[in-house]
Amino acid sequence: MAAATGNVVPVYVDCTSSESFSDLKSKYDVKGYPTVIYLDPEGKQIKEMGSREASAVTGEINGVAKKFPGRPTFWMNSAKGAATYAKAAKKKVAVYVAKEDADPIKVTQTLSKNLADRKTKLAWTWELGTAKALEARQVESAPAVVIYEVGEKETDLKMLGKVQGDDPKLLNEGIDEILKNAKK
Amino acid sequence: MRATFLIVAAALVAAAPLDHAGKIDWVRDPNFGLAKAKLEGRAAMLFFTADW
Repeated sequence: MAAATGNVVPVYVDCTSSESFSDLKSKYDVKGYPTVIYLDPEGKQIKEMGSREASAVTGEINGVAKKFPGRPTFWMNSAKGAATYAKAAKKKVAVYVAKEDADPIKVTQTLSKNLADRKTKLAWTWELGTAKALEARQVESAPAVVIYEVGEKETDLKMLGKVQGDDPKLLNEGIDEILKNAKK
Repeated sequence: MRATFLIVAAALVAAAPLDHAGKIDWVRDPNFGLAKAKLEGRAAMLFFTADW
């Protein structure tokens, strides 16, 4: 069933801190938790979860997914997802650490245009460059690309190298250098 | 709230993309999630929750 319904993008909105995501909560009039909202690809609300019954919720998700079958991109939902795919496809993982004010549409379109075959050579995912994320990824500033090799387990990520900055030429050269060194 | 959370979570696990540990492969940055949905022409499912 997971494969059949992989056509929704599941977004976890952690509102534990009351100030978190106030714009989203206000936009979709979220008054309590948990609340599930379905949006079409343009961000327009389709419906709110109508039932708390597990089978009905599954049916709702299936129905929404069926309306928008979508197309694949090179982006994975998370580093874990990217690692799973990378391990199966014998690739390396690339984590794009974005500036906090980055526009994901613009950035992904620019990367898509500039990365050439590096898009498919690596399993890509996106992380917001919060202070916590920068520390975890061992980068001083965003944007940055950190490349990992996946170990025995998908959770074992070994950093091969990182490239900071958003100059496409430098980014590509940095990625190529990391991949070249990894082969040695 | 805990019981409702568990029921909803179980349903979502049954219907969403899973990672290697059998958990939902969540996008944690809503801006990226909405952009990804737009780029891929897919629906997004926003799961608002809080751990109190």
